[in-house]
Amino acid sequence: MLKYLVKRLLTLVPVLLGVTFITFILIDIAPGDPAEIMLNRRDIEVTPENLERAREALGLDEPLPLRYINWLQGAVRGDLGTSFTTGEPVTREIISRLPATIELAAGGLVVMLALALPLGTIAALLRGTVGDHLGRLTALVGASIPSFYLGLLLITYIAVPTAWIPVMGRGEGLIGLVLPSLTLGFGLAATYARLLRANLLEVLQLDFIRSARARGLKETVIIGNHALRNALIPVVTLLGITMGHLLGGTVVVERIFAWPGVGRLAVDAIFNRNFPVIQGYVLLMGVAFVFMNLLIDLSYRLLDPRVKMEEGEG
Amino acid sequence: MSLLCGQKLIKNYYVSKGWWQKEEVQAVRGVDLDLGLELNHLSCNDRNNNIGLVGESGSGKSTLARLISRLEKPSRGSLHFRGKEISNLPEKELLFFRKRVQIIFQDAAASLNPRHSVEKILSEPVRNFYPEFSRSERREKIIEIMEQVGLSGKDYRCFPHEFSGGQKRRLAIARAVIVYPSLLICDEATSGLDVSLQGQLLNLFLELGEKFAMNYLLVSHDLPAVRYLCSRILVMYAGMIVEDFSAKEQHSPVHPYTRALLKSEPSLDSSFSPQFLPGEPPDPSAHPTGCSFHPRCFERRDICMEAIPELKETSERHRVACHLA
Repeated sequence: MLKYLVKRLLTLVPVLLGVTFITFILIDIAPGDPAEIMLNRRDIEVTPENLERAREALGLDEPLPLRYINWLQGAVRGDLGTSFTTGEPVTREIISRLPATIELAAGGLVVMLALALPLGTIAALLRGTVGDHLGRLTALVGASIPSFYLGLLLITYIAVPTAWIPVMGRGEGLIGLVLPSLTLGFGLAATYARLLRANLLEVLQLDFIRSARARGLKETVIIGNHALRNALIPVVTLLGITMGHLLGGTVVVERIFAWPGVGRLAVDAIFNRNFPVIQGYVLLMGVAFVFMNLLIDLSYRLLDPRVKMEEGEG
Repeated sequence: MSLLCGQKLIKNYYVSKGWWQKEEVQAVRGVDLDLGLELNHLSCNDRNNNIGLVGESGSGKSTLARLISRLEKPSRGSLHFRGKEISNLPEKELLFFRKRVQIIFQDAAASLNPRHSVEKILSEPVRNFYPEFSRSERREKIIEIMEQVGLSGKDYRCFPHEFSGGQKRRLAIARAVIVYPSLLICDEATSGLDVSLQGQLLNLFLELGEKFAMNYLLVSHDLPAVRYLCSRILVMYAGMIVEDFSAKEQHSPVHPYTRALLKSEPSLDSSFSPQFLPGEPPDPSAHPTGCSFHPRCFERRDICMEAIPELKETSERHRVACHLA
């Protein structure tokens, strides 16, 4: 187990190197001169001398590979440079926004699972009935409705009339989390409910379900004990990808609810050509994806005893 | 009282043909069947009551097995278990029946949940039918049954994928017999194994049948296996039973199909060459008029094309559905 973990963590190194290097190149070939943008942001007159000085300060006068190595050296020490717009260290900017993002991601996941698991299961059990068709229609609507629209609907019809759910920002306690989580979770739930339904239907056709019926097991035991556990594997796989995305911030939802998360930071940074922040954000995304997928692979072991075996042999 | 008895069992399926059209497929077409008396420990007489159900692929034998194990409801007809009508009982009220009649399938590996350990697989039926058992009693029971089917009792923590194909079959058998059923339906349970494993399995069946006072309904296209294990053989053709005869007594089968089936059996005797029946079984959505077998029968007369022969008793313990019998 430990050996496996170390092996997996070591693969993180080439992934992160690759991802950050590609971003570095992309930023370099993107239009716009970072030095000029920085001067503009800070209201300094753009003269050739000032530009030259800014380039030197940013290290832009050096060739690309050297700049990348310099950036890497800083990154290893936890120094991702300073933001052009605020002058704050990028590390601090990201870390200050991370809790809000994690909170929202967790909230969205909870809403999603609370909706998708029962809905998917019920739809599979009621296959072909009115309930199933209604559920699938709802899922289709849920998957199709854009989150900015759903967010606005929730604000108009829930937050405004009740007046005790904050519309903007994190608010006090967890109450501010309600609407953004619902917005995020609802759209995701539709996809997951459909996936679970399809998988469950497939598993329910398998021989061991038939033989469980022949042994006179209760339907609840058959579903809960035999079918769901087998049907959840593809769901868990997708969950890893979704969690990676969520940790990268959900730009639209964060914008609507003025949620101070990482996603907004990244979008603002892109509009402002705030390269150090973009670079830091990409690094964070890479780490988040790799870790989430590691987490998912570990959870397979809980769901599927056969996975353990292969590792023991290899 | 008869253990299990079916009257005029019919099972139709509907196959969709395009958007609006449905085609009716008749898989089982009116089967009368009495599985005979229940064994008890005193009168236990090993292969006395085992029944073999043979027929070609598509003859409806597996469907019949699913009907009498109540995995599916018959479209029409009745099914009595110890005199009680069970063909329409909801699943909840079938528990008493499930405890007495168990079924195992050909693909043992697929009938075991890959996520469950042996202990979990075997304790589930015990928990379901004998909820009063404590955890340690259950484990004792599991180890005991594993050893009885020829598995090592120490392996109760393993998962199905850690066993060989033959061991998985034994595991599936253990799961069925752990509740002491009176009847074990084996749907092609010995098919697809090499001959030595098959022999071991058949001997295990005999041994367990004696030990647990349990009868078998062996659904198979493997005639030697059926003859080895069973005293009574039912032959199915096109959804109907065409002959019901005793394998042990001397009177030989009468129905042309049964005779053809026996002749097609390969043998080690080099002077004997198996004879195969020409033609194919009828399309289940369009059965021929009269006797279903008449298009392939060498002895057909005019009446065979007009009237469906009834399953009549021609002598003691011998029923045949043929106009010529």
